[in-house]
Amino acid sequence: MNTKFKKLVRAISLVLCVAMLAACGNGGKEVAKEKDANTVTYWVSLSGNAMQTVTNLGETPFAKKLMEDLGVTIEYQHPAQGQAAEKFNLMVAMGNLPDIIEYAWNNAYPGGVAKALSSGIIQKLDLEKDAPNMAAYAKANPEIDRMLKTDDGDYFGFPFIRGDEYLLTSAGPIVRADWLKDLGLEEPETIDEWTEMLRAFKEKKNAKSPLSVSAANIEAFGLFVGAYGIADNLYVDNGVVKYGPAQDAYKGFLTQMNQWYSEGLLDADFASIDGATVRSNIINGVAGATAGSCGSGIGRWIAAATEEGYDLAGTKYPVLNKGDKAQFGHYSLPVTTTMAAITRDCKNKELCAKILDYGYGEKGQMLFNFGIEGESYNVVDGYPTYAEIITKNPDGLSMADALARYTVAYSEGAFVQDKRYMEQYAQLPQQKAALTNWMDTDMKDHVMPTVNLSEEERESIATAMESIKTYKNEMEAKFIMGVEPLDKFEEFQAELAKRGVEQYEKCYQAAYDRYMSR
Amino acid sequence: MLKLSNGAAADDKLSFKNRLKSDIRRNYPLYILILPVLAYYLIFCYKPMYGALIAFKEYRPDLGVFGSPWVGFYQFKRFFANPDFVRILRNTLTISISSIVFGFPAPIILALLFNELKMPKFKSVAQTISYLPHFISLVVVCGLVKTFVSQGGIIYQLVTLIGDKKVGLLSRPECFVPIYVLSDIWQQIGWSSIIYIAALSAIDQELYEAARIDGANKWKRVIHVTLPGIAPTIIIMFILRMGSLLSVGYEKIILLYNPLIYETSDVILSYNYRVGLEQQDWSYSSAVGLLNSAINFLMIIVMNKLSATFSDTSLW
Repeated sequence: MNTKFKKLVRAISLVLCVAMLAACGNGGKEVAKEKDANTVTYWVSLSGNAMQTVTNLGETPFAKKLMEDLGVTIEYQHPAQGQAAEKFNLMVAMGNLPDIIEYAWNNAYPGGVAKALSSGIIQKLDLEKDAPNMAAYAKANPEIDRMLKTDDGDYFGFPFIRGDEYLLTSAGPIVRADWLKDLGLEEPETIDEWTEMLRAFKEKKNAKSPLSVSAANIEAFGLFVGAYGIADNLYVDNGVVKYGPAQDAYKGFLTQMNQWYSEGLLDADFASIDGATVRSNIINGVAGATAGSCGSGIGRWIAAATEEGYDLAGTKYPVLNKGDKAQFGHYSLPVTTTMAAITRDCKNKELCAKILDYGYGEKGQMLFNFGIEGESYNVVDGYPTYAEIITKNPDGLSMADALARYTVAYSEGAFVQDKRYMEQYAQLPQQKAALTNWMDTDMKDHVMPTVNLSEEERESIATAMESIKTYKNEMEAKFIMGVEPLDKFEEFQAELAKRGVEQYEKCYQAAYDRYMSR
Repeated sequence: MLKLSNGAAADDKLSFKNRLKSDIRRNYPLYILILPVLAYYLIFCYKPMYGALIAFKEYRPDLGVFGSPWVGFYQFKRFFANPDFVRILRNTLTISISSIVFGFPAPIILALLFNELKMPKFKSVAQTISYLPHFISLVVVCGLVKTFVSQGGIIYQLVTLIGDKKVGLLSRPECFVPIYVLSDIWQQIGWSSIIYIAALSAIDQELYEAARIDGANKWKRVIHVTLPGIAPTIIIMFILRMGSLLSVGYEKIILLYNPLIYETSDVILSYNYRVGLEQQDWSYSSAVGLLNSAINFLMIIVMNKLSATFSDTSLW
């Protein structure tokens, strides 16, 4: 028994030793592969869609073609899913950075991009010399040029640019089109028409919560509140920065929402519902109206609904008086906060700049948006049309997943996104109509651009920002649900003032003025 | 621990260094055994602690922890000056104390009930079932809770049999604490009772026989034999629990709360989450976290002192 046991132990140890040696062998080879002058390291989150087919971006046909075109080797590094923020914070705190980091720099780095630049974490760009393609693009689009630099006029990196107005709006109010038809109603344009429609949904269609929308989406899209001439957050009114909830008009919005709520038209749980509940409400006829986006809203909901004749329509952002043009709505800035930056540890700045600049030139834009000619797209009458491998993938990939193999158009990256991508991605006629409706606003004149707060400004409002946001969210929900009577609105404004809303507006005003004079 | 104190008494005259030396020589296998644990604490618990420095600094990533400028108690003052400070502290204490008052005795009662069960098979099945919720991910548990208490959910319907409010329970500020505490009990009661069940099994059976001969009924036996038997365990568990007085399970709060019920649900750590992770205000959130830990540390010392004074049981 005992000897048998000893033999077993010996056998196990032997196996383990061999396994260890084998592991060492592999490790040795990995280390031996030296980084040559033509290799750069590129840190970026792998998009969820790309993750469906690869574990590293370098394996996709897109990345292979990119490396082939440029004659370089790019070693992509990805954080584990959901840990990007943590990884990013650790990297910048600990040093030893990859050559290129693509991330939402302005939000993630304390003090924003300007601070990252002045503290030397990222390298400044000499646009004409380092990035001729981007320089040409900036020259042709002066509005965008302003968003590419700091208040001091320094260029800091290669942001993801949405290249057309058409790409800037992708979400808005969504209603049941088949119900409207049954009830003989037009698509609602004014708040009163909305009230009428929601009442009809409740009475004739037995919708339990005719309008099911989360508080977060009301704020993010400026839905309904926009009809009162304000946004639910910071916005610009003729060059003056204002905080919407502190304006008198905000009371009108609260009054209307409170009325809908007390009539049972607005979802009773709007303050606590999440996206999944909204989705099931709108699909199962519990709700007849909500807010959502073109792809993950209209597209997916229509596909998921089982009811006969189910149809959705994206309607215009509501206004108070018929015939007015909506002032507020969903609008993302053409230059997003996602940006690829060359870090201080990069030894070969020219090469990195050359790689990153590619997506802003004509040839690179085709690759980033449409992929490889003859494989993922064909030019039909001068229009790059996605091939079947994208639209009807033989392996059963969804269009977004297939796009993620050949392009980065569906996610983000250092390039200029092309309108023609969206025109083909939004395939349903309902989606196309929705986009046209949602885009019909003047939000462009009201949106708060990405500004650089100075250190003093940042410090003076750091606590106030959170405190104002918490208080506003809480009181908004209470006013709408009638927990707080609306005649307490003046007290609400006074409390906002006490929490420093003026200082908040003032700091952003100063930063906005600097932005405009760039 | 016992052995160590005996040894210390014997070699009282020698210096600590010499005592340690001789003890190591005598018990070196034990010291080798404890080495990994010591290393674990040094590397993973004490080494990162220098990062708490940034609570007294204005942290800048490019300058690093040591290079950032000192600002003294500035970050702490900011927290006290917050208009919501009183509310946050009050909620933290309310939720924490309610969890202790209702949540702490629950597993003890469950253990006592299990102890009285006479059918071994039923007992083990019941026990296993009571552990299971512990292994469900918190995200899933909160998803269940949200579904049950929102309009149309089963708990909502039961509650509306008595009251007649039309909104979901998570939209009513007064319901948050009960939801939090009860769901916590549901999830942890079985798992937490294990330690008491173990303590119960160590009670000498002869004591029960003696009590029975003295004419004690079931109830009296529980009061006079069982409870004193597990009292040391209960006290130790209680002291440890007090040490996390302010560390309310914030993950759960973040998963359950919404702006409408901030007034009863916003606690120190959920506030800290919003400031630290959403605004990258690292120094400030470190200060708030440090304050939280300091109060917890103080609590455990006070409770231990009280316990040592009024009973013979204490942590050290």
